[in-house]
Order: sequence, then C-alpha cells, then structure tokens
Amino acid sequence: MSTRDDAPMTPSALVDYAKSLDCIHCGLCLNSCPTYRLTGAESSSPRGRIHLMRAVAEQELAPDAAFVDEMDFCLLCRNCESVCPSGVHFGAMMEHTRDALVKSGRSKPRGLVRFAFDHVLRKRWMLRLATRAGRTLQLMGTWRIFFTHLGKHGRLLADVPDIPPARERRRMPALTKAACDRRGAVAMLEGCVMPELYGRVNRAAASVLSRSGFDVQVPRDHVCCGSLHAHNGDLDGARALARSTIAAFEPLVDEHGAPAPVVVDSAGCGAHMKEYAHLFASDDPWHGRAKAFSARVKDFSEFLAAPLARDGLVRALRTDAPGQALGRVTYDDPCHLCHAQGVRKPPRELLDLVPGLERVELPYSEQCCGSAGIYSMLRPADSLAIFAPKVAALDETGARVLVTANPGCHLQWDTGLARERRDVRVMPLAEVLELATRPDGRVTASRPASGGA
Amino acid sequence: MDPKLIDGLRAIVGPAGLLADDVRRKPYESDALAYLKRIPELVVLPRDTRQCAAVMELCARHRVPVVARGAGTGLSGGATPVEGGIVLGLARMRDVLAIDPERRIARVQAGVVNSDLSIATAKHGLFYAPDPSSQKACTLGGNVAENSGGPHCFRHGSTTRHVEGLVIVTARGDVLDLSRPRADPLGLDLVGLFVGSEGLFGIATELTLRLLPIPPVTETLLAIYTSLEAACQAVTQVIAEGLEPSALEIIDKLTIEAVEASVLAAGYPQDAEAVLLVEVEGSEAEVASQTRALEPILRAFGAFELRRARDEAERARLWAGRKGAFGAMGRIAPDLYVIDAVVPRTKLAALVRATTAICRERRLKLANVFHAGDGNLHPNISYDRRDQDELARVIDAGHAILRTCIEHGGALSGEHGIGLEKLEAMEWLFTQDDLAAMCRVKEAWDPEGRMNPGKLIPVHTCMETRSALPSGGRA
Amino acid sequence: MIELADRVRGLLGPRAVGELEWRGRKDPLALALPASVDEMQVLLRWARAEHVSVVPVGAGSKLGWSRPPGPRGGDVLALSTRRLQRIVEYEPGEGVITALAGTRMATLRDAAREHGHWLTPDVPAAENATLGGVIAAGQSGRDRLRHGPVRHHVLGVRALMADATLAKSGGRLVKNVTGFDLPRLFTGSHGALCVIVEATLRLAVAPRVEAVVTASARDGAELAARARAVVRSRARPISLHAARLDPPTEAAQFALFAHLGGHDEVVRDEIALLRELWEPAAVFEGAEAVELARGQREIDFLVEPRPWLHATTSPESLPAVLGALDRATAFLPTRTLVEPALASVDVQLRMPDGEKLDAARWIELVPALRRELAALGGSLTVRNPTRKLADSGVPWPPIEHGGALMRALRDRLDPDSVFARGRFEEDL
Repeated sequence: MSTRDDAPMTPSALVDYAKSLDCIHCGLCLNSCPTYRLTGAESSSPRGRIHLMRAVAEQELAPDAAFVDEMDFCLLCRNCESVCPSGVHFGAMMEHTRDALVKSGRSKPRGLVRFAFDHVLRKRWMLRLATRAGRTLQLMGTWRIFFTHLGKHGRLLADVPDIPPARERRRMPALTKAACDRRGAVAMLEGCVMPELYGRVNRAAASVLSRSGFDVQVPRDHVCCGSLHAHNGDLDGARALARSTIAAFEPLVDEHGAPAPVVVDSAGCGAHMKEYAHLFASDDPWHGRAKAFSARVKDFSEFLAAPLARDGLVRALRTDAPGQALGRVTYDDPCHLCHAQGVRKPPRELLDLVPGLERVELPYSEQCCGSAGIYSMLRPADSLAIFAPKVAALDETGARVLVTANPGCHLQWDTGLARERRDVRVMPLAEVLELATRPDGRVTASRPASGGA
Repeated sequence: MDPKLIDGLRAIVGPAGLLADDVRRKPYESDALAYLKRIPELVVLPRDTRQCAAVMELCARHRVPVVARGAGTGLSGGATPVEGGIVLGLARMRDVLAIDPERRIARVQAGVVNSDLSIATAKHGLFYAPDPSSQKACTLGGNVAENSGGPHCFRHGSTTRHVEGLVIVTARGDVLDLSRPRADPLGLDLVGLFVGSEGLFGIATELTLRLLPIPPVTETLLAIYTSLEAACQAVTQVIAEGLEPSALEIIDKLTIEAVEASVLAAGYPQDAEAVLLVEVEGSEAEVASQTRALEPILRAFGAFELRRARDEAERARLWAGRKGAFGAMGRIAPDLYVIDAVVPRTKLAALVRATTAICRERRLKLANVFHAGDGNLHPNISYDRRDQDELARVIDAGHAILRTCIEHGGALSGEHGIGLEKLEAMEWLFTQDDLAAMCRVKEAWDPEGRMNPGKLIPVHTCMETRSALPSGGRA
Repeated sequence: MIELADRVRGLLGPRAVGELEWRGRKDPLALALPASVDEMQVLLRWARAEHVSVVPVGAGSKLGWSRPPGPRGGDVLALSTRRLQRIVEYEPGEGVITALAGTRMATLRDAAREHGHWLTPDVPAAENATLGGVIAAGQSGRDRLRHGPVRHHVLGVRALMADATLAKSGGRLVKNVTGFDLPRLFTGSHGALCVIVEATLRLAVAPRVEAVVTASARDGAELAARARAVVRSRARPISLHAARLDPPTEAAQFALFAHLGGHDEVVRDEIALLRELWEPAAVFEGAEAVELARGQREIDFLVEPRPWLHATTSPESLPAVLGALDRATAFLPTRTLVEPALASVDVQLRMPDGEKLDAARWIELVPALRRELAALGGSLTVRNPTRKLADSGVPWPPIEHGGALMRALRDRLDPDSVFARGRFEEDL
C-alpha cells in the first residue's frame, strides 16, 4: 500500500491500480457527482477521476497540479458508490491517492489544517483550548474582523455559529443509566469536535437511548476516530487513531459481558469506523480486531430502528402529538449515512414514529450539501456552490424543520440557511427524538436564539 | 490549435467553460466504448444556445471539426473525438426551460439528464417515456442524437416519437428554431430527420419533448425459465397474440449472477437460466385484462416460477437489476463490450443460439440481456482491453454476430447507433446507392464535413458521392 | 403535352401512358404508369437527360394537398406507382407489413385485420389511396389520437432517387437506428425528393371489441371542455371527433364521437367513464359501432378531392378559432369537423366547390383568417384548392423556419431538378 519513504514515489504508487480496473467506464456515476453537476467537466466526475488515476498509473499522464486539484475537488461523498453497478470502491481509491499525493509532496495540506490533524484533534485539552479561544473572540465581537482578514476563507468561517457556552460543552458522564426498564447497554462515541460544537446533540442522543431502556457508556479517554485524517490524505494518522479507538471501546461490554454495540450519532465517524479494516493489511493483527470492532458500530438511527430499541422508543414517545409543534419536517440524507453506510430508511422510520409529525421528502436529498468534513473550509467557494441547489430543493418542500444526522451537515445547513435568510430550523435526529420523548416540559418550534452572524 | 481560436472560445464560454490542459482533456478521449480513443484538442462547455452558436461560428471560421458530447455514456464511439477536432460538451446546459402540464410538453436544454426530466415532471403526474439503461446519467440531447431506446420503448417507441421540436445550431453557427410543436411539420420533417443523426448534422441545443401521464397502475411480472430459448419463445408468442405489455426484457444466467453479486441485487433466482421481465401498465382494467392473458402464455413455455412485484420498491428493485446489468458485468472482467443489434422478433431464439456459438468458438464470456419485445439483442462480452489477443477476438465476434443478424433480416443497431464502432458494417447492410443518399443528406446539413466526421457513414462512400455529383461536387 | 405522352409511350409501351387531371392546373398532365421499378429507372434516366420534370403520384387523390408542380409552362410528367401492387412481406408474428407503393391501403388493412392487426393510418377512401401516396402526403388517420401520426409508423422505405438509383433506408424491424432516418424525411415530402417504391409500416393491435360513444355539445366552448375531459382521462380512444350538426339546434351545435376499442373489460370501463364525462351520452356497440365509425371516417369532402380548409389550433383557443371560422364563412353553407387532441386541434371545414367557389373572395379571406388564427396560435391551409385559388398561392402557409435547409436537401438529392419543384414553395 503506501510507503513511508521520503524518496519520490513512482506515479503508479499514487493509485490503487487494482481497484481502478473495476470501473468499466459506463458513466452511470456522472450525474450523482456534485462536483460534476457543478462544473460539467468530466475530470470532476468519478469516472473521470478514475480515468485520470488509471492514466497516471499507466504513465500516460503526469500527476501535475491540475491532477492534484481534481483529486482535492472531490467531496468524498461517495454518492457514486451508491449508483455504481460495478461496485467500484471509489472512496478507498481516493483516500489512497490523497494520502500518496501528500506523502510524495505533490499536495500540501494547509498549515493550520496540518496542525489541527497532528495535534488539536488528537488531544482533548487542545480542542478545549481552541474552542475557548474562539468563543472569547466571538464574545468580544472581534470574530468577524479577525476572519475578514483571512480573505475568502475567513468570510466563510465568519458565518460559523456561535461556539456554545462552557455549560453546553461539558463532557458526557461515563455512564448514563437506563431511565426505565433496562433493555441493554450500549457504548457511545463522544467524538472530537462534537462535544465542543454540538455537545447538546450527544446529550440528546444519550437521553433518547436512556429513555428507550439502555445504559449508555462513554470511554472518557477517547478523542477522535480519525475519519478526517483518512479523508484528507493522512492515512498514517488515521491508522494511529483507529488503533486507539478500537482499544478504548474493546473493554466496554453489556450486562452479559458481550461487547456492547457502539452507537455513533455522527455519520462521518460511523462510516469510517465501519471500515477500519481497510486501513490495515490483512496479515496485520489489527485487521482482525478492526473487523470485530466494526461489526459493533451502529448509526444512532440504525440502532434505534431495530426491533428491540424501537419498541423501547415507542414506549417512551409522548402521546400528545409532540411532532405538531415542529411544523412540516424534511430529512436530508448525510452522504456518509446513505452512501457510505447504506442507511436510508431508519431515520425516516423514526421520524414517522413521532406522533403528529408531518414529514415530506426533500428532492435530491442524497446529494451532498458541500460540508464534507473540512471541505467547506478548504474549498469554501466550491462548498457554497454545491450548497446552493440544496437550498432551492428545501424551498420546494416548504418545510419548517430540516433534520440531519451528521454534525458537518448540521453546521453547513445552519450557516447556509442563516446566510440565505431562511427561517428553517436545523435539527439533528437525536434532538427531534429527545423532544418527542421528553417526559415533561414543552416542545418548542422556535429557532434557537444563536444561529450565526 | 490556433491561439486565436482558443482565446476566442474562452471569450465566449468563459475560463470554466474551456478545458485545455492535459488532465482535463484526458477523460474525454472516449465515451463508454472505451477501446476507441483520441484526446480532443479542446473541450468547450457552453451554457446556452447563444454561446453554442458563437462557438460553432468560430469553429466554422477556423475549419475545425466538432464532436458533440452529452454525458459520454454512448456505446458506439459516437462521442469519440476526431483528429484535430474539439469536443463540444452539453453538460453545462442542464436547465429545464418550461413544463406545460396541460399539453404534456416540456422544453429543456440538451444537457438535461434523462431521469432528471421525469423527476421534474412527476409533480404534474407526468413522465418522459424513453428510458435507456443509462437514464440516470445520459443527457436528453445525447438521446436525440442517437435516437435512444430503452425497455419501455416496446410500448412507447424510441426517442424520435417523443421529440416535438428542436432548436438546432448548424455547422455554420446559425440557429434553426424548430422548437414549436406542430401536429404535422410545415415543409420537410427536419426535426424527424435530425433525431438519430449522431451529431453529423448539427447540435440540438433545446428540445421540445412529449410527456406521458404516469400510468395509474403498473405491474411487473418475473417469469423464470430453465432455458433461454423458452423465454424467447414466450416473448414471440406474447407478441403474436397481440398483447401489449409496456416492456419485455430477458436476462440470462451469467447476467443474473453478476447483478446478484452487485449493489443492485434484485432478488433474481440464481438457479434460473433466464428470467423474463414483463411490465404491464395502464388503467386498472387494462392491467387486469393484460395480466390475465399473459400468465398462461408465460407458463405454457415452461416458466417454473412466476413472481409479481406488488409495491413500488420491489418493482424498482427488479428494474434496477435490469438497468444496472451491464455495469454489474464489470465485476466479471475489467471491460465489457455491449453489442447492440436488432432482428425480427420471430427469430430471437435462433439468433441467441447463433450468438452463443460464435462466442464459444472464440473462447469468450458472453452474457445476454436484451429488449426481447423489440427484437433488440444485447450480447455482452467481458474482456480485458490490455489483452490485445482477447480484444481482437471480441471485435471479431462482434462482427460475426452482426453478419448473422443481417443474414436473418436484422440491422446493426436498435438504440446505440453506428458511431465509429460499426462503421464498416454499414457496407454489409447497405449498398453504395443507399449510402450515397445518406451522404447527400449529410452534405446538405454540413457541406464541409466538419460535424462528427468519420462516423456513421464510411468516408469513402461520401467521397465517391461528391465526385459523382454532376455539378462537380461543389454545388 | 401530347408529345410528352408519345415519347413515354415509345419508352414504356402503350399501357404505361395515361392522363392525370390535376385540380389547380389548367391542363391535364401526361401520366406514366410503369409496371416495375426497372421501368421507372428507365423513365427517370430519360427524364433527367431530356430535362423533363417528373412529379411522382400514387392514385392522385391528395395532389391538392400541396402546391401544383412547376415549372410553369415546362414539360411536367406525372409518374404513378399505382401499378406496383403487392404485399412483399407480412409475417403476423412480427407486427409489420411491407408492400409496394401502389398497393391500396384497403388491401393492407384487410390483410392486417385477418391476423388481428390494425393498419395505421386508418385513412378514408382506403380502396383508392395507395401506400406510397399516403406516406408522400404525410396523411395521418383519424386514429392518430391513439396511434400517433403516420410519420411514426413508416419503418422503412425503398425509394428511387433523382439519379435513378434505388436507395433503401430503415428496414422491416420495429426498432432500428441504423443510418439516418430517411423514412421520416420522405414522409410528407410530396414527391419532391424521391419516388417511394416500397415501404414498411408498423402495425397496431386490432381491438377485440369496439364501441362508439356519442354526445352533443352546445357550442365551441362545451365541445372543447368535453374533448379535454376525454383526452386527459385514462381512456385511450382510437379516435375522437366532432361534427357540426346541420342544421344546429338550440341545445346542440356539435355531435361528439369517441371510437373506443380494446379488450372487452377495457372498453366497458371506458364506456362507463365516457358516460360519466359526457352525461348524457349514447353508446353503440358491436357491428353498429364498427359501421358508425366507418361512416364517420368516410366523410364526403375527405374522400373526394373537394376544397376544404384545414385549420390547426391549440385546444384552449378552439372556441375562438371556431368563432373566427364562423364569422369568416357566415356567407355560405359549410360543414365543419373537429378533431381534438391533447396539444392541438384540427378543424376541417368544407368549402363550396367548382363554380360556387368565389375565388376572389377566398383569396382575400384566407390570408386574413390565417393572421387571425396565427394570433391564436393556429395555422391554416386550403386543401384541394381550385385553380384560381391555387394560382394565387394563398392556400399554403409560408415555411417559417428551415427553408434554406430544405432547399439544400433538395439541391443535394436532386441537383438536376428531375423532380418537379414548387411543391412546398416556389423553387422547393
């Protein structure tokens, strides 16, 4: 696979050539690809990118700056995998190529990103420091001035919603007991950025699980699953974080001593954790451990929609039509849930369980919103362009609430809708279910007071 | 390339509309027929008819050949670039311009993807009927160029029956507005002539298309057979009895295996030698009477199992398997050669037998998936284009199959077109006189021969026509 | 004129010569009646060498659908395919029929019917009309509502080109994209490009049972509404038309006819639906229905070449168009037929014939009416005009778009003008 040598890599090593042969050039992927839909250029399509990779490997084409740009332009949304009749592993091929491009010095991740990958995301205290600094800047009102100086990248960052106060950024307890008759125990991923920006979502997910009859355990010393590293050309970093994640979750068991399901409320992390085995050669002992671990990983919606948990959830749901207060609701599929994990029905089924909730389908809901991990920060202009048709589709539904299941998408929608001045509330699935199972208190439909610049 | 031309083109389409570097031109070297390739000099991606006309006008001035391209999903090399030529891509012309639900007509730009139109019209209870297997990616403009078919063309007819009008940019860059739908053409039927002209006449930039009401009831039947021939005979009988299903599709064992191993697993039984997919649509009464008449015929030819797709999801899954069949074959070998030939519907079984023999003789892996109702065969041969010997055997088998079809009263293409792929075979089917008439029609549209040159009609035929013209060929 | 006939007689023998009355032309044309394709080739080569203009015809029933052939004053020879009569191939299992151009439509219709097929287009006067003539005139049947226009059904054509070569295009297959779609170019080309000598038609499935549902409409608005209700419903009538009652009553100006056909169950369902939509409606079934449908197809002025106005309009402007036609023709007794479809409506209006037709008045009226209809999104043609009317040029609308390309096609396919020009426009 990849090499650690500093010696210049041969072009063929830039590409997972064997995988590229699965593509028969039929072109069925073209229209699924957000970047191709945007530019109309086939070099920005999955078939085109594979064609370029193959040409590089066969030494017909030099891996020049344009090549690197087309590889970086990809959102890694993996929509193409959903429609590929030949079963091409596009995501894995792209991760391989990006990693090789970084290693061979052809692609240089920006300094700040590199620092974040190597240090901030790996250590909880660094993360906390960063968010505290950010919040201070926001409170002082200097946030916008600060980012205005960063040019076009800054303009986008200036739209980031307010970093929540420390109370919302508090850590999850190591154990949340089942709130009613106990049905089992689960482990939950707290994550790296999640608790800093969307701690309330984690807590909502834990509450719903608890109210549905599950003990929720959280490994206190775990930070990051490594998915952002894998997507952005740092497979070594991803491997290290995968090992620590597997090790952190292996001891967590249910009441019978069997490994507990690992519930993940962030689609990007879940997708990556389900594919850990790809990171390790088949003779590596970690390969087996990764496989066993991945089998335990369940998306929050996937876990809850399965019969045992669903039954518990149904008992916990309020009967006074809590869905009514939300108004019309629509669901936007996160790419890493629908394309990477194949989870499409469970979130919809869960929403449809909520008494009084009116759900409509969002046209082209499986198209990427342009968040794509840190893509929105690396290529802000492209990210904006990819987001635009999503707003148009949302307008068509007349929905008041947009439900998502991934923090990146949540952020993209939140900032995007504020920028486009749409009065639509973005809610993670966990929060909708939390409201619908809240034993007392009111269900509110108003948009939170925060919500951006 | 003349830098003046490059600058001129950039001025028309803007920097994002002109692809000039190696990396961005490389993916255009072939369409879905990957063994024929040539890197284009430039790729130009206009946004609208006006830009398209300006591009064509400039190319005319510089005498540059032009190859139009939709999504590049064609299978006959129709979009393969030509020597010294540019590719004019319609992929950025993807606006649905108007939907008229009262008259059931839509106006679209040529780059709109086939299935996107049906998505856009669904809220009016309407759909666009021609459904090539690549419908989720192929463009409507490409469909017009190739006169594309699809499974449901058995009932609704190929693209040409659904085109009510066109805006065409001619080789010289003139805009010919034939977009207004008419019950009958005024003068000669230029629109009808244009459909299926494979990019040799001009560029259709806007299309006026007929829409159909989504049928109130649709039922899909899956009949499972222990022999491919029995399935073919059942189809022949269904047609002979005057039944009118909307689609009649046959899928053979190797294809079933590939589909079931792919993401599109449709629940086709893997112990079957062939499955026949039959769809019936219409009013409640129509579907009921057709289905009642169909079942005994399907069973009479030995269907050992008959399944019915009841709900929308199950139906979609049965069809997803059929539509993705050819991609699923990618699991068997790196490349796939999809042959397209049409034969009299009464001779299906004999031709399937002959095709199998031809491939067996050449040690090739053959899978069959075809529009049986229309007599449209699709023998699929898996191969690896890096193996030159195998590639030669594949092409040889393709030729042998086409010759056999012609002997049985068939023709070279039911929906993929001739392009580069079947150029020489045109002379097996047509006489020099037949081809000369086509050449003259081509010359009326494109006197300089710059539109997709070297495709569809063997070049020497046209040269002879020119020299035979009484006025010395320059008329 | 006489001389031309003699020369043809010398070429092909005495049986191959006749005379053709051409409404809209002063003198009859010399008519060649070759018995084979070979003889036609001999004739075409001779015509080319001798600079004689040839105008291909079938039985000659639709000559007045386009302009009379030019050049005025020059030698024009009509070439009829009517002696080429034979069904070349009809394999019922294929659902297509191939015949020589002179084969009568009725012959084809009867052959098809015997094996459960329906010949489309279902034209009037099929005993007379030839296959080649129908295709060259682009004549659709009233069954186009269900089966579509004739140009959708011509699968293959063998045609003699101007240089006397025989060119084949399309084939005998229901689905085929091999080569350019020349059958589409030749359909409706009125003999300006080639002589069609053989053609293949796609057949439809004959209905197992037929029925006709009739109702009345008070005025144009109600007619439009009732037609719209049917064409937008789940029913798929074979044809739908309305005839103006003569004389009209207080309560009804039009009678509507819907010809239904198909499986028993489907027809029953559609009858019930139409009863509901057209309340009150009368229903005819069995032989009575077949006879009624036949009678409605064989309307006098469509069968015999009498002058009539052919207006096409959008459905929503039908009442306005009917009003405009009424006002314009108030001074004379007419007969009106309306064929509504989804996107357009055909209105056919019988004009007085012969001496009774006041040409000067119509020469003024037609362009004015055409302008009025154009404003409503419609168009207007006069079919079978008298000579005076034809000479004025007003019967045919000018070609708006594509004239240059049509001329280029003509010039390439027939550089020596072997086929008489002027069938569409001056010089075309």
